[in-house]
Amino acid sequence: MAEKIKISTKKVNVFYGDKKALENINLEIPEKKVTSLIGPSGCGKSTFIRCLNRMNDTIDICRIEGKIIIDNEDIYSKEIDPVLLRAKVGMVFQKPNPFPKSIFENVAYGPRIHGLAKSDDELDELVTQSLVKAGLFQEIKDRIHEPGTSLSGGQQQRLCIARTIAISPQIILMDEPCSALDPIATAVIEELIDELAKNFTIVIVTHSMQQAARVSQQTAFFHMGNLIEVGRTDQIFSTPSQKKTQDYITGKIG
Amino acid sequence: MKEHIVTTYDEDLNSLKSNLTKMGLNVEKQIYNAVDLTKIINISKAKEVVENDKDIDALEKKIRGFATITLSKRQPLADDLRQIIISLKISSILERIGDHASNVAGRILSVKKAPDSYSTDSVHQLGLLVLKNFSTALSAYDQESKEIAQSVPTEDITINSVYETCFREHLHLMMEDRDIIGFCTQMLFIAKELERIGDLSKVISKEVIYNLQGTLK
Repeated sequence: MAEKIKISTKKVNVFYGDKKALENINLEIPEKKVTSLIGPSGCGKSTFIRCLNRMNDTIDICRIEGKIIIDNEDIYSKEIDPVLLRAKVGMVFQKPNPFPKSIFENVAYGPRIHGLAKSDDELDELVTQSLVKAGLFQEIKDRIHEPGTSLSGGQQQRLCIARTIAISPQIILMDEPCSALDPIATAVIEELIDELAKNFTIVIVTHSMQQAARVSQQTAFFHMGNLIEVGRTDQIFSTPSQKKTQDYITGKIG
Repeated sequence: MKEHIVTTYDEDLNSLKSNLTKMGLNVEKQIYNAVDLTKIINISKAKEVVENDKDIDALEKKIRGFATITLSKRQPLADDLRQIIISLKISSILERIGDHASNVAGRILSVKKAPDSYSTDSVHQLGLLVLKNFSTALSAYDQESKEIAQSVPTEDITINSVYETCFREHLHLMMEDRDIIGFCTQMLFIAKELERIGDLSKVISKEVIYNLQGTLK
């Protein structure tokens, strides 16, 4: 199985001031597949995912060593514009965070600032398509100019996904996208992740082992800033090779 | 063995295991009695073996219900998941073995008594080997021992060859004395029941190995 590697990290160390948050992370993320990152709180998985679109740049005391290669480019090299990088590597957060604007404006915002639509008609079409891809359009087509915040939690999260995919990213990072959602809204998002994986490379942080097992093809287990184990999801959840992984996924104490 | 953070989870898994072990011991007793019947025919004891099969069936249902609830409640992964899967499989194998032991007793009930000219104890000897190998498979499960489990298939090869010898011996007996053909045929059916218990003990040992190493090899 020849998989194309989309993201590759080499000897990545991350520090917050003197504290080392991640140590020597070497991870390859295949293209158009879902990779889930699991591990206890504070293990560094969110720190890691934020390195992939340089979200950590905004934290003054955060320092990164090593290389993160996306499509053969080191994203931390001087030539890289973080704004363009973030257009290519989109992100969805734990709590849905729509802008305090209409549903339409939430999705239109990105294409507008990146100049992706030449006319209003084109922008309309792009917004509609993004909402369709995020599985939200049918539910909200009659109230597209109502505030995004008027939607339910699950719908808001899908709105955020629509906003992310409107600027045609190649990679979507998801940081616990379902932790604030009920099981039905979660199932809808998981169905969407399956669909999105046909066109996007997805990296998802989740605290639900079952969710990781359901949605991803590759799973990486982080523990205290180290990458303990990475492998095929079915193998990680059935026969993990590391004791620490086994203890974590089965809920055992050392 | 590490413990789960949730203590009731450990209690659930322990309870599943102790129920399965209990079922195994019940089945062992059934085989023991069935094998005993092949040496000394005892009608009331045979009836008891047939009757006791109900308890084994009830235990299988109990284990299945318990395993299903544990699966839905805990959503187990890795070794925990395998432990529940093998509980379901082994309990159903034990139920089958129970049926074979009960069938042996049923055949004894139909022959009532052995003809005086029938002098071999080869079916009984086969039964003793089968009983011993079943007990080995059961302790492999109880002690979670790959080493013990691995000895079961090896011993089953011996059982199969003893069965073959027993079969040929009975053919000769029937050729020599037509009056005991009816009895010998029943004894051959009994030998077949016992041989099947041997095969199923081997399947139990394979489940134990699967649980311990995580792959079906």
